Amino acid sequence: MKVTGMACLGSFGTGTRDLLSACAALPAFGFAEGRRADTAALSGLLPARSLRQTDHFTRMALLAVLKAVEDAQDESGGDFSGGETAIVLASGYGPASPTFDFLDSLLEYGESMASPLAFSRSVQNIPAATLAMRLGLTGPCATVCQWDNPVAPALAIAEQWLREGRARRVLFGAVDEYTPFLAETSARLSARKDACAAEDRPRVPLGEGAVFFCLENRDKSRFYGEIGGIEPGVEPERIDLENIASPGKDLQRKSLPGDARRRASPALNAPADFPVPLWGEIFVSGRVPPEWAARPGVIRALPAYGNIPVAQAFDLAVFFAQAETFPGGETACVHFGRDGLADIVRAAGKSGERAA
Amino acid sequence: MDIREILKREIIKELKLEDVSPEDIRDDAPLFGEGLGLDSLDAIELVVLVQRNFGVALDNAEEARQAFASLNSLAKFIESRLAP
Amino acid sequence: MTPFAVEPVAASGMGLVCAAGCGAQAAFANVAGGETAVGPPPFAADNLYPVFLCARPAPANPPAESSRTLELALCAAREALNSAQIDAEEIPKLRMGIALGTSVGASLDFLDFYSRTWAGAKPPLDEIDRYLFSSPAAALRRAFSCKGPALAVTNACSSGVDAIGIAAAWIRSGLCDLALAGGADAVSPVTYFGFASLRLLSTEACRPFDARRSGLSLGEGAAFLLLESAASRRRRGVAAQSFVLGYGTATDAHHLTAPHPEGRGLKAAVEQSFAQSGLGWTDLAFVNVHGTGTKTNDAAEAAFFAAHCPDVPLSATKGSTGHTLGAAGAVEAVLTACCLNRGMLLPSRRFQEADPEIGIAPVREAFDISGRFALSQSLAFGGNNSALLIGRGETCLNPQPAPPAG
Repeated sequence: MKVTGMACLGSFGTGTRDLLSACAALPAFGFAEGRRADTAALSGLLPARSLRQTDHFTRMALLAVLKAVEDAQDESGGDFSGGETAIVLASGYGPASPTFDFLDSLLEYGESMASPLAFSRSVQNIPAATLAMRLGLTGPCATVCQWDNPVAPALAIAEQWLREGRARRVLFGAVDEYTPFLAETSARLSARKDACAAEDRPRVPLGEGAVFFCLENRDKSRFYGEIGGIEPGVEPERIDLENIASPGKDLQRKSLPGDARRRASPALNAPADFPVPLWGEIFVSGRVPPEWAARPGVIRALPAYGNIPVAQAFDLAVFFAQAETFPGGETACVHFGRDGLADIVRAAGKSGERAA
Repeated sequence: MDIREILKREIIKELKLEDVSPEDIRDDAPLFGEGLGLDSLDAIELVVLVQRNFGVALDNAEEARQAFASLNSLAKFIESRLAP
Repeated sequence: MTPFAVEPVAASGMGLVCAAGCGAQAAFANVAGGETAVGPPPFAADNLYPVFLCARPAPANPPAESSRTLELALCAAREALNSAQIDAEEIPKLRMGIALGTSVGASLDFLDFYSRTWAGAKPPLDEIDRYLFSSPAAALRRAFSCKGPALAVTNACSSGVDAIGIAAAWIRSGLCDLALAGGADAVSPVTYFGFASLRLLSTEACRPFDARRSGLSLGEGAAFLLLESAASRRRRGVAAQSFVLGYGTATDAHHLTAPHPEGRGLKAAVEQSFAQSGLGWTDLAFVNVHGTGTKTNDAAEAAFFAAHCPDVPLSATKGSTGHTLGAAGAVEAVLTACCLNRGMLLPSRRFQEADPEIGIAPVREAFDISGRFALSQSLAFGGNNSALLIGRGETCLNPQPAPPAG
């Protein structure tokens, strides 16, 4: 699948430039704890009154999808409304703040007088449905919600919908939300002595954000690169470490050798303090086994954007954010699940001509 | 407090009309469509809001439709139900 | 957009647990002629809105961290694996994925913990551990030690159909060789009071399509098809109990909680399932409708059938199972497959009087059918519409079982 448009926002800031700046601070945190994504720009895109019932989760998703569509339309144009565009939305917790708003109303006003508006917003597929209504999309629409990596299986849906001819393009999003309750609860989990359920993740404070990719199979003159080689649920010991970034046949192998990477680095249009491009390396997230965490060339970028179940999508965004300035490499984003199985998503940057 | 004032305050708060002040809501202007711009999702919240604040149930769809014509008609409906 | 035609994907096993019964056979028999348990939910003092609950599925002693949704899912999944003749020891060697539709199962569903935190306490983290442990797709993959994708689809009430449609594509593309595809949901206080706040719950057991219908009744349940590639079935020498021939899904983009009044997205979803299967209305023995018992859902479905195929027999089974939300599409897919295999259309229990305003009525009594294909459809919150085209199993078409692998 070609990535023809991309946009992101989160605790780290707004846009891929802010995302890369946050990565520059690695392994230190690239975001302030408790910082919320800034969705004020939405009021310039949509009438303020029309947003009054739109919760923060959906606002993040809406801003990211509108910016990704704008990005994808830059040169190619194309009609994004109607039945040819699908939506796939991945989330770990789903719309958290509407869920807690509903629980608040239930506790405050009693069982018979809880808020129906809050309940309807708390249903997991309502944010994606709101996007479909806003964009006038009548194609397929799916929401994947599970805290233990929703990203890889959701990307597999996008891939199969394009292959099956259900859609000409898929707007693929990954969104998760910070709430004080979730932050406090994950802090309590990570402080617990037996951290069996706590995962590796909560040691990084809770973050939030939304990332959207516009995915298409057609040839386009302008695109960031490709996503493919999606393998959910693989035993880590079966992964060929030497060739992990060697993609499936749907991706071309175009890896830059290490010193070429370093030579190219000063010419990058990347932030001045960006140390080594996170490029051609392996991104890991989830419950990373110690032998993987210690491996050279393995990047755990979670501290850049915060503890977030959809980390794998942000890993991809970090990779493609550099594709603009540093083309022609490839990566594998590996998420380790609670049961020890790995979800692998491979990506390759577009080679050559897109470099500035 | 006057029923109309409570209604205005609660509608602004619960239906998240953050850019509206109580004085902006005219007693005789339509609540839905052209007037305040409420929609069918707001209508269900409005039913709950009335029950919460006044203990008045709006279970009959036709009654609700008439009561929701304007703030005035809603206030009158509540008054009629509260009257001993 | 119209998808390309595809090869059918076989189901070599199925499992079902719902208020009508634990086990596909028992549930089918009770929908056909028995009674199902309807009563107050365990967390509500009154019986204002009755719900459809299962007899607690065996086996007993679930771990403390397990959720009701997960226990229901495990019960139906074990039945599906058994009926496909798959031994537990064999599973770790197979590439088997899990695709599960759910709503409650993926929710931040820890009301007690939340309310105690809300009141200023620091409650123990047990309920949070349960939420983490029982994330249903991942928990099933862990419970059976399978290797393959774990996917929780949360498209509200169409999730069960979507999980099966998505998993069928996994098998076709070789992402895995087998997949437990279905859905599971318990009745939780959060959804119960949520649906109550939306004034969508019926004060009596629901009556889909009836003139006096006044809302839906929640139910708990889980159901799975065990989808399997042709190569894997040949190797194991097992017959197909059913086939998934086509899947469609489309969005209304009309209203966040109400269906499009003419079923715009539903039409697109059904047409997609026809395109994938190469079949059409005249090939269908019947349609298992969504039929929740709400005024708007049943009216939208009726308008759709009146416009496109007024003569196809309709079967509405939520009067026997309640609305099992994320499981509903899977529960109905299994019931649909059973109908085709037994040559009998299930009655629409609790439907008594046709609604003159919608003009279309489901079947009241069971009757014999001879067709090989049927459609099962689901409409959801958010305007999601999904349809599954299901074919009769080869155990009925061909009495000779497939030869065992050499």
